[in-house]
Amino acid sequence: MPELSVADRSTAVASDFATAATAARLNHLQTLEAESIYILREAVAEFAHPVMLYSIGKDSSVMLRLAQKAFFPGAIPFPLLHIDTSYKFPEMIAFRDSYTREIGAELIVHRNEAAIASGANPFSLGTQKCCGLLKTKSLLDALSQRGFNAAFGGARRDEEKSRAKERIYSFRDAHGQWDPKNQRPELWNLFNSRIDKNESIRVFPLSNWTELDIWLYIHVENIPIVPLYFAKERPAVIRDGSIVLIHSKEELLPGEEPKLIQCRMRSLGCVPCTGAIRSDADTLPKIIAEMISFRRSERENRAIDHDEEGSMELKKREGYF
Amino acid sequence: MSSLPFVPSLRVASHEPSAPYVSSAPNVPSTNESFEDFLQRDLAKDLLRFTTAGSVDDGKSTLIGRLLHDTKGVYEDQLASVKKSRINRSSGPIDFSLLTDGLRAEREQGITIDVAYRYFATARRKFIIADTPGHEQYTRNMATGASTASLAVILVDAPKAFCRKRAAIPTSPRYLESRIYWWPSTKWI
Repeated sequence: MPELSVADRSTAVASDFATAATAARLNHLQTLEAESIYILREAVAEFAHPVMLYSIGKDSSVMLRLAQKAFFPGAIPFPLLHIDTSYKFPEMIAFRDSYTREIGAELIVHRNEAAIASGANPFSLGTQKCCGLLKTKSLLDALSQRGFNAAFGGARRDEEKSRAKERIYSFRDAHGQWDPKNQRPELWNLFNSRIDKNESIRVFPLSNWTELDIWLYIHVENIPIVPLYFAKERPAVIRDGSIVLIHSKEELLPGEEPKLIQCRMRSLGCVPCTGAIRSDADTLPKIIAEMISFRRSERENRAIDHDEEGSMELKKREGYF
Repeated sequence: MSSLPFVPSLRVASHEPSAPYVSSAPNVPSTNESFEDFLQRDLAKDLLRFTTAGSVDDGKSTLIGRLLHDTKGVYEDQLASVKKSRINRSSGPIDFSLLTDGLRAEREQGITIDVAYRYFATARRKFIIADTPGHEQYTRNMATGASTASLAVILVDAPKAFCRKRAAIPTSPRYLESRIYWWPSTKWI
């Protein structure tokens, strides 16, 4: 993206997003990029202990690239935190370790070892309880144990209806909980970073990005992503109508037989709860073309959002991202 | 909201979801367009942020739901979950306001409590809409949505506004006056 340097764009944006964008003739992607970089810098300036939630997915990859740009040529001035549920795809873990090493980022991996040791899994506990233990509790523990008071997350407002309601700076009380009916006002580009001890802020730099924006940016910026996003023949079973990838015999339920299916992941989560989609899209242009023709939302293949009406909102209230 | 010149489809009272109001899907590459052409066309688009303003129940969320639906900004599964919702306050098969009222309390009470941001695109532009509440007690949430908008669409329920006494709709006049003073950067149409 030529014309203006990143620094120029964000400085211009600091005064007024809309006017600056018009004056500098930024296209939609440059406007979003400038806004995100402004948010990242603002939060780093305001909080003593920021951390970035790194989920290894495509949105995290974009957020990480934006963090590199925001502080270039310096290093990213905060660690990355991955909440590992022990059910993540092996390809994700391999990508996480090699990519963070390559860009020189500090990586913290946190697991709820007690719950993992006691055998927490979505089949016997149900997805809500399993997520609650392995993701939400794990995340809240990691944030409080290490004293982080601001956490960047890659959630986007267009993902899900309760996320469409989020502020960019989302206030969490001392228990890490979100109160959607009592959110703080957030005017212009002035973000309220005032918190008391033990309270925290979730910061969402990608709030205004859509799924298409994310893919276009990955393409334009040539950002590395986990190979699971690209279509390939993979061993899988059809379970409750969704395609579940199989890595070892232990993942099979009684009576299941894996077969090779040409498929890819549209969003990445835990192996048992994230379905693949049938697809031939093995390049970014094909993924983008497929995405545009798709009339189903990306979280549709995530079992956790469909437990009951408003389930994402309930999880978010408890402290989920 | 009887005649909005730029959205002719809204003249039609029917909520028939498959009505062919949008001649072509605006964000989709045409079949013989190369990916590079599509990319260049998409990267040439700019971004417009706008908001809705109006009193309680004048149809702000419904207008936005309808815009999203007609620009194909609603995913099939989201539409399906709205269709099968037990709540439907509209006269047609789809209650469009449910597309933006994302909190449980909002769907249950049939009101907008906090601002929701939604996204759609046309052939020339990307849009971010802030769907804001109309109740006086949630003015700060309306202000949050209005503060980042470059344009506001004001919705007035004509029968309510002109046929009854003004006192019957206490929020509207005061609300509009205050908006003009508070948000000078918002352009009014």
